[in-house]
Amino acid sequence: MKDVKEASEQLHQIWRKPSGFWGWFSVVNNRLLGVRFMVTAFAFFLIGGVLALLMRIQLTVPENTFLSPQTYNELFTMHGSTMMFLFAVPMLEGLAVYFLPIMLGSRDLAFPRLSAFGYWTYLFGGLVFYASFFVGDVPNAGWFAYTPLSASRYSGMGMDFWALGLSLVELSGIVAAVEIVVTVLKFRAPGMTLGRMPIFAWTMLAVGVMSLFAFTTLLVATLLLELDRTAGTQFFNPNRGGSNLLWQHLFWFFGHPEVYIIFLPATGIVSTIVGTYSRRLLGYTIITVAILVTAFVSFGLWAHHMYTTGLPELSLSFFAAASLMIALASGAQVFAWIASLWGRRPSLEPPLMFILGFLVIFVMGGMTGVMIAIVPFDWQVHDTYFIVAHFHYVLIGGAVFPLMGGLYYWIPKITGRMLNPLLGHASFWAAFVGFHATFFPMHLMGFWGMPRRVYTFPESLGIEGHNVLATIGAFVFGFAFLIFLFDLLVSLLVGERAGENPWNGDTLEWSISSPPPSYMFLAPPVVRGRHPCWHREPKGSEGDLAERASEVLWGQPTAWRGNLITEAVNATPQGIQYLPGPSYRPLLVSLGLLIAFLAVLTKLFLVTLVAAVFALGVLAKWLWPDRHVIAMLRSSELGRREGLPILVTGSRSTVWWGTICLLTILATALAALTYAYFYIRLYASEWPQTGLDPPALLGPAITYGTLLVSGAGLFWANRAFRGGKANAIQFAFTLVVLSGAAFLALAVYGLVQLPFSHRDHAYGSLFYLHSIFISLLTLAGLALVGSAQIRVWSEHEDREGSMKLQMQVTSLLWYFVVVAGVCTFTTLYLSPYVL
Amino acid sequence: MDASPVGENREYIQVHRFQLWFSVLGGAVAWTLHLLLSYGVAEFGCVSPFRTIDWIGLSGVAWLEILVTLLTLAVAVASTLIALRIKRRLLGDAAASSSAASDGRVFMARSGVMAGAIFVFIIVVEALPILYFLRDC
Repeated sequence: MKDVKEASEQLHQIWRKPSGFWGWFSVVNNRLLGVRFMVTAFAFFLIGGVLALLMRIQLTVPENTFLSPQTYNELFTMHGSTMMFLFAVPMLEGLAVYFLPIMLGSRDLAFPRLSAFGYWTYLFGGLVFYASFFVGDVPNAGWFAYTPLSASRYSGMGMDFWALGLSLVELSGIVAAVEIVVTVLKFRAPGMTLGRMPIFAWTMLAVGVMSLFAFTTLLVATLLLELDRTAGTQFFNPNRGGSNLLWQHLFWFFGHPEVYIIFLPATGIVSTIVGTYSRRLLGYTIITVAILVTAFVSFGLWAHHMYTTGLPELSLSFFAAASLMIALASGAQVFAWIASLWGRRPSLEPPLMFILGFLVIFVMGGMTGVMIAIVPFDWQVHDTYFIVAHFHYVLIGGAVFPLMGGLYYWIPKITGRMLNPLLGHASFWAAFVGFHATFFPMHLMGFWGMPRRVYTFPESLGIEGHNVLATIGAFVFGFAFLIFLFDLLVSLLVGERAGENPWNGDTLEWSISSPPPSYMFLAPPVVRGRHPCWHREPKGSEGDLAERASEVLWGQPTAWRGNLITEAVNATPQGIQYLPGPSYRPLLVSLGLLIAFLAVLTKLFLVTLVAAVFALGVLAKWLWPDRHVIAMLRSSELGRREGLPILVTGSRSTVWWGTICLLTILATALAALTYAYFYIRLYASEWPQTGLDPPALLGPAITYGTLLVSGAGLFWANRAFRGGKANAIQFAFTLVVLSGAAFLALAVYGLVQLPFSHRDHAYGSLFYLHSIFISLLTLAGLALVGSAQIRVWSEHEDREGSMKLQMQVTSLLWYFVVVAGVCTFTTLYLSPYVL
Repeated sequence: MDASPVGENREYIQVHRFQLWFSVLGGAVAWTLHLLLSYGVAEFGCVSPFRTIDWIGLSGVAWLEILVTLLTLAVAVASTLIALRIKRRLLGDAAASSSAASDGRVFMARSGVMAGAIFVFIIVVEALPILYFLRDC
């Protein structure tokens, strides 16, 4: 048996980061990427903060000319977009990327290269946003980009930067969501059942699932906006049958859950810190149920941003009720935290101070939230500073304060050095006092009629004193973060050594050294309670699979990166997952996307095409199974005697779960497109528009019928695969490919024959978009089916391992294509006869 | 299928995987359907001739809203009751309740009872405005 030192060194050789300058670009380790996410997000936070200070200077006195109206519009657009898209979500994602695996007792995230791709895409998206400053055309339609303000008639190229930069950032958010969901479900330490999972992991699981739906919807919305701006479609042009309100529906279907996507991880931080400082966390089940309720109900609130847009009053009442009800979930958590602290004498150190500050501010913000959930009240204050006050109380109180608490709590684990408590207190009090001085007066300003999103205010309102106070407060608030940065710098240079568990925390990250080793855990820790660092439960019996799995992976594997896979509910060991090492491919795919997007901005569509093909080519190489790796894993004896396979399939496999996430994303995109179709149809006086006849049925029925044939072919291919009939598999696959290709050809021919273009009216735009969407899906599906066919043809011996998994994944995706085809046919061809 | 672990708990109570997940998420799904369908009926119904239909003093829109509410409420109540039943079954077996494996399932069932009750309440509260819009939108 190896000793600990030898085992650590062997694991380190496998898990260490690549060296040298170029190695920096190929890193895939979660800890390094987590830090990069956080540092980048914090840099954007500082930039966004400076923009806010400039706005506050402008609003210090009435009729100020410090900023022009145009510049003010640009600054408030960039401030909101930066804080919502470039700071809040990526910052919390960074925290999750770093700490989720350690908290769960895992060595990395489920898809390390996807994490790297997410980081590069996020960074490039942020740079595209800010590149607008260099071309002198900054986005100016608000972070919500309401049409028609954001349409090409009223906004310049800046909004293209906004839409394309945002698309990259959202893509990053979506891949992070997949990463998080699969990691939480499949990479937990043995014994860490759902009922023993840290609350932070619960919040991230909820946020991951929410992000799949919310970010995808926004991605679709920004795609429609950009198509309107560059390709001449009419989705949001009422003069051609489009609808401006459609943008608001799609945007806020993302926008409101976004608030909770930011807020929920913050509550996870609060629960963690409250638990540590009060030595208990009361209401674990209540808190997890509150997270579940919040995750669902937050999607039912989107229309409460649209109370003044003329929706039917009956509709408004549903959303008002849902908006009031979500307070139940938030309130339950607040009471659980107060109850946990009640009667304890926690040490008032900086992490807890920020959490106490959060409790005060968030409860105040929550109360005003309940007020504006009531429709008549919202009508009165909708476009005033009352709303500005409310959402800053919720977002800064609900996210920034817990985040600061979390940084003070976890930075010692990341850097191995403590922060200075005195500077921490100074930072807290500057933030707390500065925050209230800035935003509390805004409630009153709103009541007295100060309009939001306007570059100045008239002297007659009599609110000069309040505005002066708000500006001074903003600078004090900003100073708090400079203190924090100074504290961090001092800590890195001369900070006291942190040790393994400086706060006596209960979660697994406190069971390893600070900073953690590259491989994190020598062996997967066996978890037997909710507080693994507080209560060392007795070891299980020798026959216990969890104990055996932990022993198998003690100091292993040493030839490749490996991690234990566990079952989703009970975290029972199921197998060993191979994890890929450093790679440039994530960066190359991101670069390809960046160039493709920039080429759209400059209307160099040929460059877009070339860059997209390059990105897809690298992606294909990335995803193509490596024969050498498969051969190495197949010959490995690790875990074989204990019944822990390395090449797992079905719901045991992380790839299978990742595919389920991908299908969720695609289904959400299809649902958003279908909603757009029926929403525009609902308010159209005639359908199809401009007196067109409903589309003929026979030709499309034959076209879409070929997709059904391909589905049947795949069903046959699966049966043949299970039966090991090589010839039958090839015949069946050929049928799938031919019928899929026939569908593509017929669909394209059908589009060419249409008597209208995508520019003529919203109906035409929708028709083309739906047709192209299903065609692209089919093309991607065909690529997968084709690759599966080639593998089956070239590798005869593998029927149980990676090829079986590829068959499962291909089948899931192709059956989805068939279902999506049926939905598209129903929407485009059948519905005009019925509705 | 059963969400059972490998190699543990010889006296293992079988709970169907679908039942277990329905007990946790059934209420949430029912509420989602309630909101989307209620909103859809209001949005479509209120701009269509359907709103002018009058049957026993209620508009067509109101009838549809009531129907949607009753159906989704039934799903939410069913998921809550199933969660309660699973919890009682699992906790009734001492061997299972003390093991690590049943821990996750008991937790899920307990969460399902709470979540289901909350979603039943939310559906009822959301349906109350229908009473004020019996003949109009």
